Amino acid sequence: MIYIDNISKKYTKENKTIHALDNFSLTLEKGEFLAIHGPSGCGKTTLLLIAGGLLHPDQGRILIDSENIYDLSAEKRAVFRAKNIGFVFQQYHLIPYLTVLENVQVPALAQKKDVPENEIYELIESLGLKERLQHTPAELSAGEKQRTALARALLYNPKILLADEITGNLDQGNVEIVMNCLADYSAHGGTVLLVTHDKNANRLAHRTIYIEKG
Amino acid sequence: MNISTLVIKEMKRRKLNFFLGLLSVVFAVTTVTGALTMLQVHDHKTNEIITEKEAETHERMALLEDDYRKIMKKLGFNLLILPKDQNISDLFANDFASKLMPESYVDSLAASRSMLIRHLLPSLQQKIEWPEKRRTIILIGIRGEVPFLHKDPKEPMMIAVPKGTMVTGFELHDKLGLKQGDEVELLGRKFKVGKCNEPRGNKDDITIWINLQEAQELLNKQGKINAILALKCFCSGGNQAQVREEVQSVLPGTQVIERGSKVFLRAEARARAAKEAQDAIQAEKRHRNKLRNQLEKFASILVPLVLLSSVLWITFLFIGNVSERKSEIGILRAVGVKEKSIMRLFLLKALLIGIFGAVIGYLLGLVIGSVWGGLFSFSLFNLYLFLLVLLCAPLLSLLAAYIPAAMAARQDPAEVLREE
Ligand SMILES: Nc1ncnc2c1ncn2[C@@H]1O[C@H](COP(=O)(O)OP(=O)(O)OP(=O)(O)O)[C@@H](O)[C@H]1O
Ligand SMILES: [Mg+2]
Repeated sequence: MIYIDNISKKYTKENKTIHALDNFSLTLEKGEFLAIHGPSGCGKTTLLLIAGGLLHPDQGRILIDSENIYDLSAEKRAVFRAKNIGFVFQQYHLIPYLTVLENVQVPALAQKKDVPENEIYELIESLGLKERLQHTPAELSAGEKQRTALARALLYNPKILLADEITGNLDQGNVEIVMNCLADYSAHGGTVLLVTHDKNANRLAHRTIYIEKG
Repeated sequence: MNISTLVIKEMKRRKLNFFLGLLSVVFAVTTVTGALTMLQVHDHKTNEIITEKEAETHERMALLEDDYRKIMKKLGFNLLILPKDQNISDLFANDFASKLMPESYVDSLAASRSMLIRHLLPSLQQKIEWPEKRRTIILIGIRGEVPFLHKDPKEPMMIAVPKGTMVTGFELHDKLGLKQGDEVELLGRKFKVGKCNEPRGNKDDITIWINLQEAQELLNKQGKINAILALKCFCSGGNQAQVREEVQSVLPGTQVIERGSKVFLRAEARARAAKEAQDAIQAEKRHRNKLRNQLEKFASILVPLVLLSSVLWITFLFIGNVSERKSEIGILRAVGVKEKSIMRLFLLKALLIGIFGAVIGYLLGLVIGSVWGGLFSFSLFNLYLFLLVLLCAPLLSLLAAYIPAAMAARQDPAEVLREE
């Protein structure tokens, strides 16, 4: 369902070229929960951004449901992202002036329909944020922030969830909640691509791959 | 949730940023409105001042006019009716008229229904040697006023000199040592000095007035006169020509000249006063105009400067806002918000700032401009200007925010999202 086909990405800075990814290929099935780990700087984040349609690879194709997403115009790719892809980042990227409830609703900006309120509350409750609805990110713990970001990514129930080091700042309890949430999502047919250092987290993954270098 | 709710939430919860933007627009709009209001107040005041001045002048002129009318009524103007063949140059050169006309002319004129002529004084005059005293004198025979038949008799203008008496000019009685009551001989006839005149500084000082009939007898000019003086003729607004015509229609054998009168001087003075008043108003107008030009010049420099700095201020403010919201823009792009919408996010904010700023700035400018100009009136509210400001301020604000908004839309989402 996701074919990452022979992609390469290099960065050039101050006349030095870094090959973040070099002829990398990967296939993910629908409902698969794949964990990726590897040393820092091996190109994991780069892979996620390319897979999510946010970063043009220098070479290769990304086929999602046999749609080559980099053949689409930037605008169509945005629509595609809104429909199919959820992102979670280590740095949460919550909007500071919005409450938890509002942050979770942010994907609605790119959607035609709002998610019914009871579904939003259900999602928020499942991530243990019921008491934090009206709090702003500044008032949240790291775990709460990451759970809010996860709720946001899952609001429109995307086909693919791309998660980058989302457990890096979390304690064991929060890691459990988050990983269980991902497993649950995967169990319901969502495809998860998780980048992590946390060996513990891998327990729930169906498959773990290790990237050495690009 | 949609873009507008996000814009409003951002403005509501980050008030400082919003107020700084608002302040810039308010500042610009206040300056523009204030300057225009000041000019408007200036024009208003100019009108007031000029109207007041004009009213004042009008009043003064009316007073003057009234004065003039009263003077005219008292003075009238004096006509000298002379025989047609009298040479006017001779009259002035010799100080008396030499040609003759029948005394009955006076009665014809008096019998006419003239409404313009009032007092008629016939006279016979001649420059002669006073043989008994060896002096050159002007001898004038007068008979007093000839009453108009169709009018109430008025008090006589000049009391007729009774027969057997004379009135002497100052020079004569002074040099000859004559006193009232003295008996003196003139052309072989005895006269009593009835009155000694005060000095007048003209030919009157060497004149002797006697009764007309006696003068006619002494000069052997029975039934003749030289001139008729018509005193205090009605004359308002220059109908002298009409008077003249009237006299000549009754007495075709005469000519009419005007005795120099103060009336004309007064009329001239009045015209001069009117001109001075007009000049003063013109000068005031010029002064107000000059002031206005200065104000206008000042505003024409200030306003573009303020507009430019305001636009730059908003631009920098939005650049700051965009860079502060990099992470937000990144995540919005990640969830599928289009570049266009990112742009709208900032332009909508600029638009709202422009609208709020226009309304607040306009009202503030109106107050400041009118306080500064010293006039507060609801008539200063200018709907046209208000609508113009309401259109232009948001446009300028949009213009100012356009580049930052485009920068935000073009920001590479991968760049911020990769950061750890
Ligand atoms: N904008 C950039 N310019 C230059 N080099 C870059 C840029 N972004 C990433 N790199 C380099 O590309 C390589 C891959 O980066 P990437 O962020 O994908 O690594 P990573 O596997 O996610 O590392 P980590 O585990 O530390 O997050 C790194 O060597 C990084 O320094
Ligand atoms: Mg990384």
